[in-house]
Amino acid sequence: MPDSFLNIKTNQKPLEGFPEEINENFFTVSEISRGIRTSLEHKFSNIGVLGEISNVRKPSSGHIYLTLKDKNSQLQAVVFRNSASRIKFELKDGMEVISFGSITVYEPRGQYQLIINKIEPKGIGALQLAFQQLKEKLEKEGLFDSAHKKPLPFIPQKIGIVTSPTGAAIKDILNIIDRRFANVEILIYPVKVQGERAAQEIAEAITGLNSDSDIDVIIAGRGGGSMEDLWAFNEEVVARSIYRSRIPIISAVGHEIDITIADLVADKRALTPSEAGELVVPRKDLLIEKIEKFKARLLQSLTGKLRLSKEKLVRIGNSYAMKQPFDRLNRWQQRLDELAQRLNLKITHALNTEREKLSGIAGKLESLSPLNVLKRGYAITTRLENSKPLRNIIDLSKGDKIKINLSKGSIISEILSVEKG
Amino acid sequence: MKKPDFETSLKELEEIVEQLETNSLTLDETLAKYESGIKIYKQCYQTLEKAEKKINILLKKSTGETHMEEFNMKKISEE
Repeated sequence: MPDSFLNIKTNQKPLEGFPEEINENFFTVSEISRGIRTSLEHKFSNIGVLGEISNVRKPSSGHIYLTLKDKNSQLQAVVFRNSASRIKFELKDGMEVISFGSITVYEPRGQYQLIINKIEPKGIGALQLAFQQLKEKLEKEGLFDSAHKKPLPFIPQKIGIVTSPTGAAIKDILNIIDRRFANVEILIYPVKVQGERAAQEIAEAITGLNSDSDIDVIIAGRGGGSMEDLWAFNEEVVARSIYRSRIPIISAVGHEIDITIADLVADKRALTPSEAGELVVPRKDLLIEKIEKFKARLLQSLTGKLRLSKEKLVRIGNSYAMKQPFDRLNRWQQRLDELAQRLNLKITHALNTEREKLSGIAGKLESLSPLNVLKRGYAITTRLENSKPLRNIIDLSKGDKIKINLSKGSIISEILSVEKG
Repeated sequence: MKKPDFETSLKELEEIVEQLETNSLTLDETLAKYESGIKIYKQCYQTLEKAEKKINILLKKSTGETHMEEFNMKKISEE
């Protein structure tokens, strides 16, 4: 009987009292178990098993126990802790999987089981599934709610950047910031962005920057890569640190097509690290241009207003109401002039009248003048001593000297006698 | 209270400019608005210029203590 079981049968002592036939096929329990184990492990090592997961148990030891089944059969399986920690997605009942590992026998119970060291969901990548599972879970918890998302500061004073200091991302981010708004403070928190512990480092950096009160926005990201490369940004620990951050966070992971859990939790997703640089600071030159334009318009309005006011003032100054006082004065002056002129005329007229009257009187006076009488041959006699005309002889006596005034000359004479008339 | 942020100030400035441009204010009001507009303009300018360019990197010593150093991309890349 060329059976593999028989091949391992060694050093068997024949048992007494049993037929030789039986003796030849005699094993102890341990022997049979070991034999089965060796045989199975030899035949079923490094195999893949297709089946549906059921009855998953995860005790605190970290090992995962499960049953694989199909329509007709069941297979016990275990994922030891080390392998379990490498499984990105969560094993759930009903899931169709391909399990890689080896069959072994658990001798104390005489059970064979599949030791799984790698497990893949059927029809979908493990990472893809892990992503979907975590996304669903965190979505249910509200980690992606837009209500939780914080607005980014318009002009940050200090920016925290969580990324690799040697990667392409930091170069891109710094270049863009420098081009748009150079005078800003930046603190780089260097982290591993892929591989072992990358997720923990990223989460710690985000938490650490939150204790810096000056920082008012954080960029967390890395350049492009495979889904495995970007995986840290799909880890729950990173998602939770982003959600807990009181400082707004811009995620900047890979390229536009790479959407990570971090992108979904972040307050703002930049499609690339370069875009993060654009989102984090505004273009200073445009802002300056804008405020300078406003300033120019302010000045223009003011000077316009001043010019209008001045024009209005001039218009009011020229108005009839404002000019009336001068008009009145002018009218008064005119009237005054007129009156003065009339007064002048009157006076002149009166003077003339008087003058005419006077010359009439003078004519009459002239006709009455004694000189005219003298011309007709009469004479006026006066004492020599005065020019008083003599009208009678009372005061005259012989020897008095008298003056006889004729028309053209006079005669001085002495009285010879006085004769009464 | 914190100073109004840049965006708020910018909006305020724009409103003042628009009010002035409607030309419905008195000369006194115009002067007052102009003055507050210029004040906000100066604030905006200061906001844009107040921060200094500074790029530091946080480094961890082997003792676990952290310290800051000026970040030099070239130097880091060469290492």
